[in-house]
Amino acid sequence: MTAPEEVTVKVAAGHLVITTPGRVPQALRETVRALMLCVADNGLTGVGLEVAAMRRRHSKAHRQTLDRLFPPAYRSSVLSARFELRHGAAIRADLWSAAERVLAVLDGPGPIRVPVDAADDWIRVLGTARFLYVDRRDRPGRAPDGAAMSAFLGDVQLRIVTTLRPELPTGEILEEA
Amino acid sequence: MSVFRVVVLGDRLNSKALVTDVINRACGVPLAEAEHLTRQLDAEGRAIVGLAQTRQDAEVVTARLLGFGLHAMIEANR
Repeated sequence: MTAPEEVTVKVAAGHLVITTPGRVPQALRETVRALMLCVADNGLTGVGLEVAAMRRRHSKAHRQTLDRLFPPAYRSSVLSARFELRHGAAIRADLWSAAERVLAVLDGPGPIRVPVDAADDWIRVLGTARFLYVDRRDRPGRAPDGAAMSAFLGDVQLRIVTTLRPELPTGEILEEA
Repeated sequence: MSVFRVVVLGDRLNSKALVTDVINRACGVPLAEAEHLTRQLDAEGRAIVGLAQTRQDAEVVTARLLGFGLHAMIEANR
């Protein structure tokens, strides 16, 4: 993946302007499509994802990926299952819609231009897409495949957040207790 | 007394800026308090970011936090 310093984020005329090396948009497109495949439900259609999504829904690996994206909402597995029934589809549909909007912007030429009021789509999609590649419990030094991509996504997300809100604390990563 | 509490758990992926931003905006917590909660999360690995009278209210906030990539859980507020 590209070095984070090669990506710049600015605000101009009500838009986030994200400038990246030429290879980055394609990598982002692939990641966003992978996220859409992961969260797509049978009722969602678009960009030819429905068949693949149906296949993935039944695989153990897909279930594990979803668990990384959306960890249990309760310590009780019974309550977590009820939460999933009540909210899971809506959470995935919201994320799918956000990813679709991100993908639409990525299809254009030149610097990526995102209306400021659509920045949350990017913050959410970049933040959750990291868990396609890593687990929240992964330790530094035990870098799994995809750790570089995850770190890159997190860095772009952080640049967007701190560009919009420079008053926020510096971009240190949380420590896990 | 509130019946449920929404807790955010720490991880090694999310930045302090992101966590503060999300707690501030998704939970409706004032920025200074969101910064305090983020420091607490960093130090202790967890922080209570909201209290709710109903399970539904707690779940709505939790769903919002999960959508931003944070690890949020609901606990009984004993």
